[in-house]
Amino acid sequence: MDLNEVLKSTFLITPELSLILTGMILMVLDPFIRNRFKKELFWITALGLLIGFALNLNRFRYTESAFAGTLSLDEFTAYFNIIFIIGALLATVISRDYIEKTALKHGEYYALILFSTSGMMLLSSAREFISLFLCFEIMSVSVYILSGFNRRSPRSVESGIKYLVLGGFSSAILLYGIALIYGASGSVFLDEIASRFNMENPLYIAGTALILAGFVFKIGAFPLHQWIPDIYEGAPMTVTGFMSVGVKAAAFAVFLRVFFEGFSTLEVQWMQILWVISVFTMTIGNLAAIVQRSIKRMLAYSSISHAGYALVGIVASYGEKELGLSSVLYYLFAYTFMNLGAFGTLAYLSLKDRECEMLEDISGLWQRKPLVAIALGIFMFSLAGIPPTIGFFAKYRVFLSAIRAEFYWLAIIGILNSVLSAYYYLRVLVYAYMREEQMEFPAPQPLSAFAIAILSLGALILGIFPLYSWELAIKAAGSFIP
Amino acid sequence: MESFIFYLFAVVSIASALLVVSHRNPVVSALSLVLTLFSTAVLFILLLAHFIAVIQVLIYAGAIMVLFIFTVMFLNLRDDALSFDAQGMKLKLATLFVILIIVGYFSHLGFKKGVLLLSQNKNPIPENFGTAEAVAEVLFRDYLLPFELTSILIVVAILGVVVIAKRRLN
Repeated sequence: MDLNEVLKSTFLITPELSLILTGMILMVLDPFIRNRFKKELFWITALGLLIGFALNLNRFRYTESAFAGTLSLDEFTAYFNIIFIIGALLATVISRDYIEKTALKHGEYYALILFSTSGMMLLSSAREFISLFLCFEIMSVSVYILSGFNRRSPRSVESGIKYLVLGGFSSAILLYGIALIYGASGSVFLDEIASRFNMENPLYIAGTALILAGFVFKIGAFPLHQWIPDIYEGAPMTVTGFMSVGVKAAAFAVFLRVFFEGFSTLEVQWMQILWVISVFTMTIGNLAAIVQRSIKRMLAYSSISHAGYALVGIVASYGEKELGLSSVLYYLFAYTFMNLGAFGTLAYLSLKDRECEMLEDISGLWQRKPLVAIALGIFMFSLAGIPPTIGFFAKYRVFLSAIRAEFYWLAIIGILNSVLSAYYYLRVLVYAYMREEQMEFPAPQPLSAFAIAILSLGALILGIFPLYSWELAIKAAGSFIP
Repeated sequence: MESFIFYLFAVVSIASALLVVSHRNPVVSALSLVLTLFSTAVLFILLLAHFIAVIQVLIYAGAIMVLFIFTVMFLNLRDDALSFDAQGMKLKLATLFVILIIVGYFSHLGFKKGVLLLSQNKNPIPENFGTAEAVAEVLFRDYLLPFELTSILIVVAILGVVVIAKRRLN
């Protein structure tokens, strides 16, 4: 790789660089700004993210590989980057008021969000295992710190430590798998691994299994899902929202890239495993969510079951490649709106010393804050998959692709699960709309309200007119199918 | 001769690694870790990876281990905090035994099929293999992006330390 190529490649990753640079600027500026004005660092963050978003849109026009094949910058990358940046941007908007309320510190928080997002963006384009692992760690380490960010709360610190230990454990498994694959093939590039893949060699099989286990942990699917409730519950509300959409989507992006590009020789085998994993993930997530009294914990379990629905799409791509893959991509896009919206609304309703997380905490919401109640209703309907929201369309596509690919049982189990989930989502609305007790709610926060309005309108309008975003998902999946 | 040195240091490294996790005195554990790292460095030399061996001794056995021992001494653990769990010992030994059997079985399978010996003498070793120059060439040319990404990862880690350690709670 000569200097010219380095320069060209650097130019190609300007969206990621703009985020990293903004993070650096924030770190340098932070000590020079008085405490009173620190919340305005938010505007620099938002500007960096918007620049990254605009530069990223260019990528829909070309497919390039950068750094001698290390990164592949195509529509698949561009699509996922849109998900990450939208998630990060709206999460930071809501975070600004949330940090102000709970008296956390601004500067490092925004920088960590930016670094984590840049890690996700590079992760979705990585085609080489060393970079892939490093991006994974940049993303994860930032999120470990963020989940322990509220040092006054023992639960937040506990969640940070747990995430660090368990995440480190899963990264080690992933790395071990990568080492075995490298040992067997002598390459860390996905295309070379795919061409040298040899079913006879047990090292490949063991490596694939270990890498699968590492990814299953990051996605939060059965049987490595137990970390999700504890960590989601303990982390600050906005961080939970951010990581439940961003980290999950990034893990899915890299999962698709590695398994479809690198390990497609073993497709029959890992598809069978994924079938079982997706059934258990959906069912266990839903059954555990039903008994929760805490909305935050319920949403954590529901995020497990949503990972299961997305896995249905991956399994369906065994028969219906394009439809299955684009339904996964679309599901993750839809999930960003509805889940970030749900956590954002809870963050909006949180008070200084009390997070709004139990079912009782939102009773009387309709009388006191009708607009917030409507937004919450849209998010819950969307999570439950009730038309005309975006959640319905996403689920419809996933199950349709399963039926087209003739995975009838998978589709039936998925639909039954989806019906079951309506119970606990709608119970939240029963508390919000039909309870008489009047809880104490915080004063209005215009910026957060704006972000929640965008999320809820997005969840609604994209559900009524889904075709444009659906076409984007098809394009992205098309650029990715080998 | 070479295989004698290999087996000697392989046994030393495994034995001292076991001592790291099994000894009740943390200072002894830390010092056995130094021994483990030294003997792994010798194994690296046997693989002709001289540069990595030197780096291993300098950074791991030198700098990082000093940090470990300092931390252990700062913590100033008393004897009752180090009480040894003799109850679980049988279980631990049994687990170790089972794992050894499984690993042994699989490596036996691997050797039988010949896959674990695939790399033997297949590719001739390049002339300057293992030198600082060769490592630098690969690191700064082929793996430039991962190298730069590492710097971001370190920045994030430093940021984490700042978040955890900087301000007093009021």
